[in-house]
Amino acid sequence: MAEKKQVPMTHDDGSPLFTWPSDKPQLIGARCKDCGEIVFPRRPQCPKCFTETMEEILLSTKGKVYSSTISYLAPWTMYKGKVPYAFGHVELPERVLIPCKFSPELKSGELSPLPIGTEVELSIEEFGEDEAGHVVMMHTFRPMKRRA
Amino acid sequence: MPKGAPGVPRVTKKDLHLPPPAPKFTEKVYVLGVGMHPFGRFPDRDFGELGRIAANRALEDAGVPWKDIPIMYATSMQQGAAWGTKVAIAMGARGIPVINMEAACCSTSAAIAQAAYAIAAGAFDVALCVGAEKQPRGYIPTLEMPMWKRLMGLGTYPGHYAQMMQRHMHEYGTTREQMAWVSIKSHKNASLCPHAHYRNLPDLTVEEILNARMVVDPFTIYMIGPTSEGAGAVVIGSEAAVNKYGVRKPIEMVACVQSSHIYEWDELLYPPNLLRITAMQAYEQAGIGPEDIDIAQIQDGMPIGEIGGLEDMGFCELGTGGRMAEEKITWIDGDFPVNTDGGYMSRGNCIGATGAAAITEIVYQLRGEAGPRQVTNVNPKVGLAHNMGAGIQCAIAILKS
Repeated sequence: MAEKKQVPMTHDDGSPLFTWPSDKPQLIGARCKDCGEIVFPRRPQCPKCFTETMEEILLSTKGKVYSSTISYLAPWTMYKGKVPYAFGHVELPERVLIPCKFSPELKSGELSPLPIGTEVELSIEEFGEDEAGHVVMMHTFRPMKRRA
Repeated sequence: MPKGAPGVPRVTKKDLHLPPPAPKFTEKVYVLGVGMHPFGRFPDRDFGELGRIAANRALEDAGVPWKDIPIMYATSMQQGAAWGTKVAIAMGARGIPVINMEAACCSTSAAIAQAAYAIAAGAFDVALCVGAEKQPRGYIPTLEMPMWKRLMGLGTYPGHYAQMMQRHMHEYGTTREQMAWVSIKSHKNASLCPHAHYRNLPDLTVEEILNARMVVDPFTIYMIGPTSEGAGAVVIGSEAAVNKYGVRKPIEMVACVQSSHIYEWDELLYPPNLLRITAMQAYEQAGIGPEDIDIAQIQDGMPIGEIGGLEDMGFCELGTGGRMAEEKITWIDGDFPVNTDGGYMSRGNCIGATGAAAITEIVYQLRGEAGPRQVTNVNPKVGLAHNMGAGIQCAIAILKS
């Protein structure tokens, strides 16, 4: 039996949010050739200097938690993930914020949001199946393990 | 006047593209009348009916008949094509221009700004602005956000507000108790407001609020305002209209500005600079500063809205917004009353009409007609009404009696 194909979550313009399949997946952002501003996800027009000079760029996989919370309810029916779930924004060294879920999935019990400033790294995980039966992968960030 | 109002904080990024200042009104513009349909759930009233009721109340308050209205601005977010005309049809369709405007929760204020320019330019003497909403239950659908954010549960307003609150607590040491005090004040005030959505919680305690069911950390169920059905209307006009209709307590609108999102690399959904720039524009248009404001309506679907709004509009130092409700400064009997009708958290968020609700409460206070909510420690002459739309638009009106 063939394994189900894995596809990366896409932006509204149909482009993937990160490189997949890959041994070292990276988020795909865009960088303005004129002023150097970096954004995620990619967009065609630079929000800083307003010119159509954006080129794709692969982003760092490590950053810090910029903002963080936990939701105890599913916001709407199209949300298929677990509840409660942790999410927020991660700040990458390129001066760009990445909206994301935090992994691993929360267990029950005393829960508190991941502290601002926690060092985290990119982790690509399963989101769910799409209409074509493919497994959609999503980007998350998880706390980096400290070396013993 | 808040003692020692520090002024609008510095706009943080020096390379930010700033919008041009809002053009001034070339003639005086007045609020002639206001009227509200209560906020709540009204399955037996459709959009046109909600708007008709509010419109009639505002027209009656102004002493202006419907047949004299030359133009109507209608505001809503979710009602489909040409919605405003449904209200005009319910009133008795007269063929007048109906301008449908949408700016999420700052829709009515944004429309009033446009109406004010038209009146100041002499195009019309009087205009009716009506906002209304029929609202499905649950989170406001954020259709303006990309699909991947919505699928992953990242694109919600409460989620963004919660992140802002967490950052405020991290950066300034704002406590959960201070957040709860905003909710206590909100629910107490709303219990005195006949058109509020939640009127039955006048005596909440900090413990009750913090121990209640958590929705999105750090907000429990008592700290997230409802989305409501309802309507509100405002009649605005020129000085000539005030005289023609013998308006007994005209309220001058010395400022009404609207601005939109400004890009920054470290923006969250509700970047402080959007409020700061809108506030600067409003104060400049009016020729006053925050120290001249006696009372305010600040959008506060969740406590961070009021806490951050007080700071970003220059009423207290950055990082001290959390103290204002806790120390009773912003209570009805305080030195700087804020959200005397309960604000969004309890009076409710009827998206298309929330701007009207904010302006209406300021008008009642300036006229001395707020009944049990009338502020007692301040004799208000100047009030500010602030609204945020979807985190990417902001409108501020300043009214003077």
